Amino acid sequence: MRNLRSLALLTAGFAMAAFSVASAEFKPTKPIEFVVHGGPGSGPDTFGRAIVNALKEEDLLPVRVQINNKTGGSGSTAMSYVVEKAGDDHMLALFTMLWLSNPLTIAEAEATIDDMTPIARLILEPALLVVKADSPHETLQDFIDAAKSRPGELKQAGGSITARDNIMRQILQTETGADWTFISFPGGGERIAALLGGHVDILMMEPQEIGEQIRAGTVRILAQINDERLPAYPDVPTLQEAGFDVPNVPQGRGIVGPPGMSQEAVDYYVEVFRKMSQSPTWREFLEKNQIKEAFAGPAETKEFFDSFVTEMRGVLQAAGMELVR
Amino acid sequence: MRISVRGADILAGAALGALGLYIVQQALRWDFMTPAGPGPGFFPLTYGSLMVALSLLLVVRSLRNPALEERLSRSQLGRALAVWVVFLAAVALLPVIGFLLDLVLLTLFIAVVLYGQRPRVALMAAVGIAAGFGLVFNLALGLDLPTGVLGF
Amino acid sequence: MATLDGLLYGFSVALTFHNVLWCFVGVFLGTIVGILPGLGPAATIALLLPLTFNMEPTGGIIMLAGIYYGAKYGGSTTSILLNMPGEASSVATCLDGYQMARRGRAGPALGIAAIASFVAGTFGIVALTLLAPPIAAFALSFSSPEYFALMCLGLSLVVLLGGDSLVKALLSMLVGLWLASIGTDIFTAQSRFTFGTPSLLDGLDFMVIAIGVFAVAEVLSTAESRGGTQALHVPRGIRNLLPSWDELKACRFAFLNGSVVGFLVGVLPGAGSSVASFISYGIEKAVSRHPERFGTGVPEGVAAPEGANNADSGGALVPLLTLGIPGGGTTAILLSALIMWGVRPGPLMIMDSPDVFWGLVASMYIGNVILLLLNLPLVPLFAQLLRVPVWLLLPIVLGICIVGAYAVSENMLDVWLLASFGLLGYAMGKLSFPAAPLILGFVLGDAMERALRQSLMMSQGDLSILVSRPISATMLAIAVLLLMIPLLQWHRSRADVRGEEVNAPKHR
Repeated sequence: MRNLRSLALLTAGFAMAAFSVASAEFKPTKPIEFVVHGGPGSGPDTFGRAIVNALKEEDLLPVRVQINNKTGGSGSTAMSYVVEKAGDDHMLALFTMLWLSNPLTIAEAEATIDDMTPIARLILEPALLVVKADSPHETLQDFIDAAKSRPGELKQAGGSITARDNIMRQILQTETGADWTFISFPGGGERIAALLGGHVDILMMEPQEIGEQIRAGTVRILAQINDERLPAYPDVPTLQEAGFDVPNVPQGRGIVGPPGMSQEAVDYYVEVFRKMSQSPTWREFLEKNQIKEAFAGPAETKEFFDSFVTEMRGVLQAAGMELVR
Repeated sequence: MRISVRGADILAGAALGALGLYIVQQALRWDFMTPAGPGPGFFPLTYGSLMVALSLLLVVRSLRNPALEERLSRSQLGRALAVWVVFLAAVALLPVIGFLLDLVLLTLFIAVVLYGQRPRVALMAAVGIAAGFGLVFNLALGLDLPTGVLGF
Repeated sequence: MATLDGLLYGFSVALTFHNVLWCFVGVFLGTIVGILPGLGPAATIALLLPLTFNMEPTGGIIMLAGIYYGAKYGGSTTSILLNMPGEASSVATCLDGYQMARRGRAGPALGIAAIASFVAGTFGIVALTLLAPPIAAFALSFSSPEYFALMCLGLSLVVLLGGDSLVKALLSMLVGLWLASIGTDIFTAQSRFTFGTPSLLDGLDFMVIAIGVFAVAEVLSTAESRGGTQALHVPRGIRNLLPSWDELKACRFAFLNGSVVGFLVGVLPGAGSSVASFISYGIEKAVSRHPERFGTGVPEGVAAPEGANNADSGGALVPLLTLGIPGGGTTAILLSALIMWGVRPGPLMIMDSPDVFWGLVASMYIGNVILLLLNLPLVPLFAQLLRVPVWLLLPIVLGICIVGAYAVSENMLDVWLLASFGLLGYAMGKLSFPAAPLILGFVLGDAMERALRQSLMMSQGDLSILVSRPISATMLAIAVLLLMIPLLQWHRSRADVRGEEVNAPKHR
């Protein structure tokens, strides 16, 4: 009987010791501020809200997450804001590739991605190269050949000159020796309209934006920009399968924290987002939007940043653009 | 001192001409035409040059036309500019005392100094207005109003 | 499903108790949101999205769309009463609407705005119902050369907005063009006129400029004289609170003009609703027998832009519902709402989700009626707001302006810019530089430059692309003709003077 009691006391003692060690781990104690660089309804905002929703549905955080829309400056306002709050363990921010590429060309941007604490990459967005349904080009090779024989005549509608669709174009042009024009349109709707109206010949776009046109048969996919074929389009070759030995320029999104975040906090959040990435709510969201789950921890995310920035520098310089950093 | 419209036109023309020259100077630093089409300097150079040309025309016309001798009233201008200066001060104070207090002060100035209302009435109205704004914009619509060091 | 069948089916969906309720909630919210600058329909819809997640798609889109087109009704209220545009598309309404209020016709102005909004809004939906597929094809045939020509046409209307001095009007417009280039050039990532400030990388916000140049400047102007206790004269009697038959008759063409122009411009993805209202205003002035009266408070100067911005909503829904292509800001959010509910907006939507498609279309007829019934009786109430003593009104207006500017992106820079534009607007008023061309230059300048550069990229530097295509050639020709008008007038007045000089010596 006395042995049992001492055993119980010992166990209790151990338990308490273990608990006090465990409580040296980080746990958020007040609402978390989640910075996104777009206004309500914009791409980053919608994505951010999906994250917040998944975290809530899967009960992954003991506190509320509050989205803070820091618009302006092509994302640099949000980035500067994050860097200002150095040491804050209750702040997260959603990074997109804009956070990596903008500081290279925009002198006014004050903060770079290296100033921040990488936490996790969450997703990678594939892209599709599409042409109008009645286009004479049956495969991507057809388009490339046509572009080679008539340099500068074929046209691609796309976003800003530092966006992924132009970077892929630069890489493809270098690899194949073809030459076609890139025309910037500020909105996805305008790009699709330009393609459907026959004013441009090709378009590179994320699956969820162009999906309905594909389903309706108004456009055709020439190739996929992804490591493997998307389940929704099993008959369309990837860029590499179609014979083009070029890297797939990634378009990813994920989470960073302000500089000087405590290691315990980083570890905690990495775990939270790892669990979220595997949760059914999140997977349902990704499937609906045809986005690829691509969780990566802090070290791998940092590597991802570095390799992307290096690649971007090379491509932008080769395209004749002036780099400021 | 009364300001003549003609004089004001000449000043405006000169200011716009200066702006035009600045625009042209900046535009010349950028590409006018690139192989891919007009560059970032194309439009600014065009409208900047037009601006310089038209400002010159304005100045010349005003100098040659002595008929425009209407005068602007100094006291009217003075009142309007006073409101503007106070508004500017109010904007400067926004991060310090916050929107609600700022609005109270602004109302007091306009009511008492500009329109000669009784201070007590003005103060009550000012507080009422600020409260109204707080209710409608902050609570009902959830908009963020600038807050000062006092936290509201 | 044939059109009429579809529409009847739509009414059967839209006229259920729940959907009518959602329609009412939507248009009511929209009206309120439209009245106040600082909270636009886009932000409101985006904020409500998560709350509507579990709603039935038909009811949800009926409500959200109601906010979208309802805001166009509310936007004119502060434009007319305070010279403060509540919405980007309500700026043109300030030009004559506020002047009508100054002449004691605030009530009639508000009434005409409501009626024009109803007529044109309904026209827009009828056109959507009957003409959606061919109009969508027409919209697709529009590309950068046509956009450029359209913007040129819009800017050439400046000569008609000019007032007395064409030189000053052109200078205002050029300043507007300059303000539009501030920011990052999309084609080369070159930052222009940003003075090293990251906040300016996205350019200036339209509302900050509009509220500053119109509302703040008007406050300064009103403050000039001590005057009476009221800023504006508000006559009593019901006859003075509703538009007279003469005023309504004068607006006959304006109703048509606003409807057609608003709808057609709205269909084009990327053309904003402020473009529609300005072009409609310009056309109304161009065809008027007394163009010099515009800007002093003529009812058709209110009816045309107000109608245009409502027909524009109907037009903007055409590419969204028939092709799944959002025209811009607010329609893009409506698109994401539809996606969120699992409805797939695109060419197949009308087949896959006829209840949502036709239910929405039918609900807009209902919504416009509700809005007319909501807004007209409120006209006398709103008009009474002008009885507020001026020493209270001015700080209230300034307060709203600050909130509106700050709400753009919670950046103090915008408030400072607001103050600067306020002074600029006041100075322009004093020096007889018209403000409308500045706003027009700002709105159109950006789009025009982009369209020109896109066109030249498409043609690899060949300028003839602008005139070899029929639509753009026609619009450019009209623009050139419009620009000739002041030259003809100047030539004619010179001939008159010379004629007099020839006759005069005889009397010596």
